[in-house]
Amino acid sequence: MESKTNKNKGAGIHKHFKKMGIGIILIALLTGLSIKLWHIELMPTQKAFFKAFTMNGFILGLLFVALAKEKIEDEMIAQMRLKAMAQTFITAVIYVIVKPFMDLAFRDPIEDVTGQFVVLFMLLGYLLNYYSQKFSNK
Amino acid sequence: MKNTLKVERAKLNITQQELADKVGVSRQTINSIESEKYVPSTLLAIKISEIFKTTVNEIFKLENGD
Repeated sequence: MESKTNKNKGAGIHKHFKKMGIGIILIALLTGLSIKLWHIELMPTQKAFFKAFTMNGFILGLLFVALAKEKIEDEMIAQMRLKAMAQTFITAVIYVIVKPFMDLAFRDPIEDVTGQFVVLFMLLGYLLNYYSQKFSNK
Repeated sequence: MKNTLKVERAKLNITQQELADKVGVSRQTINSIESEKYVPSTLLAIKISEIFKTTVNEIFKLENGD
């Protein structure tokens, strides 16, 4: 009796998107680093474009890695994903509440937390939490 | 929750991978259940008990505090 009922069910995108996500992250990182390291002179509009390109590329890549299914997507993986998502959400809320007070205490003035930064923080937190659970269960 | 999955598996002489393939989960999930790091769902517990031709209660037992 071979059961396939638990395998690869649930939401998510194909596992190949994980490699694609890592590729996008690397391209975004290399673009950002090459501009910084080689001190390429850019006009303000070009600078804004490359900043958005790097940040959004990084976010898109992380999103692909986060949403890509595992080879076998079973109930334990689903539980680990849920736990990682819940813990990251709570951490992000606490971060947004605490950050203005930290800014006030250590550096003036208070900087607003941008949506892009919160999304990046949550994706990185989710992936760290999920993979640490996954590897501790191996 | 305690379980006797390892013992039952030894009786049938099947590997974690073979059991995982039969119930449709990963080998890591079977390993986590055996090491009592993960408590399976009712559905998975029933599937496992069917493989060993026994009841769920024979394999999974409640501990004090559960």
